[in-house]
Amino acid sequence: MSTVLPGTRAPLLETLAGTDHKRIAVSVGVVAFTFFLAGGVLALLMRSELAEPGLQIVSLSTYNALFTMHGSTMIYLFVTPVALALGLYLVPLQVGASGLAGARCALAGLWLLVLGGLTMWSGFLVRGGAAAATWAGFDPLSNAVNSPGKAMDAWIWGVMLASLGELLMAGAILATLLGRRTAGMTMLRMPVFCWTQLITCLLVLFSFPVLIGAMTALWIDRQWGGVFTGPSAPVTYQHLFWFYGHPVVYVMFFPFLGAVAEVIAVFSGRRLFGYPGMVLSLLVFASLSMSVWAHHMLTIEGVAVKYFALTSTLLIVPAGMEYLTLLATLRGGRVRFEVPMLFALAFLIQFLVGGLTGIWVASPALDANANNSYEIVAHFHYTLLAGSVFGFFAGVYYWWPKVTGRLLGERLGRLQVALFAVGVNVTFAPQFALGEEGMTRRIADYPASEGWGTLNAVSTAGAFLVALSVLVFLVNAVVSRRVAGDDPWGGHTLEWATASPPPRDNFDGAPPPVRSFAPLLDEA
Amino acid sequence: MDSFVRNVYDGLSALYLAIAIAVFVVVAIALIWAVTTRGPEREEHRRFELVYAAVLAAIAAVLLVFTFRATDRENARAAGRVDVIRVVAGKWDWRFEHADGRVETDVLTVRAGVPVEFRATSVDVVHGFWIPALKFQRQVIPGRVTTFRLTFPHAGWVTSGACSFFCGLEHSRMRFSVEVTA
Repeated sequence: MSTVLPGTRAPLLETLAGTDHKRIAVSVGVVAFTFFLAGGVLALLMRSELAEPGLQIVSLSTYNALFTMHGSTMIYLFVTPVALALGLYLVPLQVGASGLAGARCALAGLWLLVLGGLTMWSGFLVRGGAAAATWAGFDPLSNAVNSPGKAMDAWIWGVMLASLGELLMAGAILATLLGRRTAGMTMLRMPVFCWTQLITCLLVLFSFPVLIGAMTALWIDRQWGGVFTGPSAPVTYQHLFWFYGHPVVYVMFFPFLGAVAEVIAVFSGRRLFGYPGMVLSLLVFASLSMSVWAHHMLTIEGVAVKYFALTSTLLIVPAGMEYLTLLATLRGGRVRFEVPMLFALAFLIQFLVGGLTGIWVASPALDANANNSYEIVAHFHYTLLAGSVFGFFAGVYYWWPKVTGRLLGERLGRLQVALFAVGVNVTFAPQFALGEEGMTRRIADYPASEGWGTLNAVSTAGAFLVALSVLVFLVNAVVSRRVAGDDPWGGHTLEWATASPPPRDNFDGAPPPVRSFAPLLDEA
Repeated sequence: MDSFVRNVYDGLSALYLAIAIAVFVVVAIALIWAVTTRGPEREEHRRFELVYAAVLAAIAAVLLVFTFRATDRENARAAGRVDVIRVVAGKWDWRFEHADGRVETDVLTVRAGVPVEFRATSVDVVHGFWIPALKFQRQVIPGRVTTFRLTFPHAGWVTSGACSFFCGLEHSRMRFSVEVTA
């Protein structure tokens, strides 16, 4: 049995083809984070272009490729896989298993993700530049007439391969949750993070095949035609795409909510408040999230807008229940303000902005202005960047010592939280005003006469603060060497009952007995 | 009585904004209170959770009632005279064809106070007809005619519209101006 020590280099073959879930997870995480940095560079180019009216840095066609690749990279290649990477690493540990059920599936998933990402980005090498038909690849814009060239095909294959990989990873996590729980761990004794992974994987299994099917259909249509034809085709495509495209929003949210819930419980020094209610509301959340997709299509005549407004607005109930759980946990605990907790608290406030504006855009009459305006851009960046990515960093700081055996620096961490929180708000708050005033999304240029220059300049400055905060994280990751010990935070769940980093088979001997969802609190 | 879409939007958005701000303030205060004070460490509180869930559902119900009413008002079709304008969107221009045979490109001239029925279609990809000052947009889809009515407030009113649905290379330049005459 080999223990991987921090700083030692894993043999190449083990990295490429090993079935240790921890190594697969770290590889997926590193690949995804690399795409995050790449997608971030694209965002900085876009924000630089938008800082003032007129075209200064890139051409129209380059800008269109930039926003397409930024959105595609962040969604298909960063947030989704990194959400699953957390599950690949932590789920076997949290359920007390020695490994992942279907580790080879997860390994194949890793390589499909790499292949898909490279395929998508290879579009930049093609004459005419990368795909430029939005991250949704709307038909008929993406068909052979309107988007000729190989870059569009590369994008389609990139999406298909990466999504297939993510589907395989989710299958492995779900099988582990259902089949490899240690003795005593009933479903209702799974840590809340495991529950968030379980519903995430269900959503992946329900919705990703539809995306892969839609992409296959689009590719066939581009080669031979005959698929998306007739007056119903554009709406059919949007239905197919958003049937994936909305559940994936929750795939990119639940695991980070789970991370935040674990962090808040541990740094409040107590069990999570209202665990049964939390699990129930997660299930309600997940089932509702399968029935809201056409709220992306409220501006199409003939869509059943009231139905989708109803299902979308009802999300208030489970979302509000989760806030109650987290706030009541804080209230009844002794709160420690270390970096993971700071990220978790910022998540609560900033995701709230994303959630409340989400209720706004779920109303057809309000969406008739917000749709495809900068209000939407601000809304989903508050959920994804100011929300999910804060939850991601809460998890990174919390589990970093488990994965590496080392603690990330507190002072650099605090600096990162501060820069990141200021940065996202300076970037995205002005965009609500821009959208309300009529600035459309997906434009490289806007009329100087509209007077949008100042707010755009502010937004651009904020984007560079966000970039600086990410640099601070990279520095922190490189310089921090403080040895963590097995359980630096006083964790509640089984991953903290083994060495840091864990041995190849996770636990030396049997994991501790499980009598609740926070087994390490039971022993005391 | 014809619905002036902007009024519908203003009324509904005021309600939504007020509730959103109230919720944000309440949660922010609750968060500060929860981290700075210490209460009893309860595992759960069934009755409170149920009552709270009911309150959330009630808020959702109120928002939905007003949203549904706004949707109905927006789509109301009053009997009476309307001006019909055919809208043809194509990369990357707007063509407005009036009943009297006038054709305008990237300029939309309408009469004040008279409801205008737009019958919009596209010759290539999906476009989005958006007049931000009226808080109204609709996707304009090739092969289909999308119909909607708007009323413009008073003569001399000048604003602009834009394509809101990404449509390719010059999407950002696909704009039109709106002029209201007596």
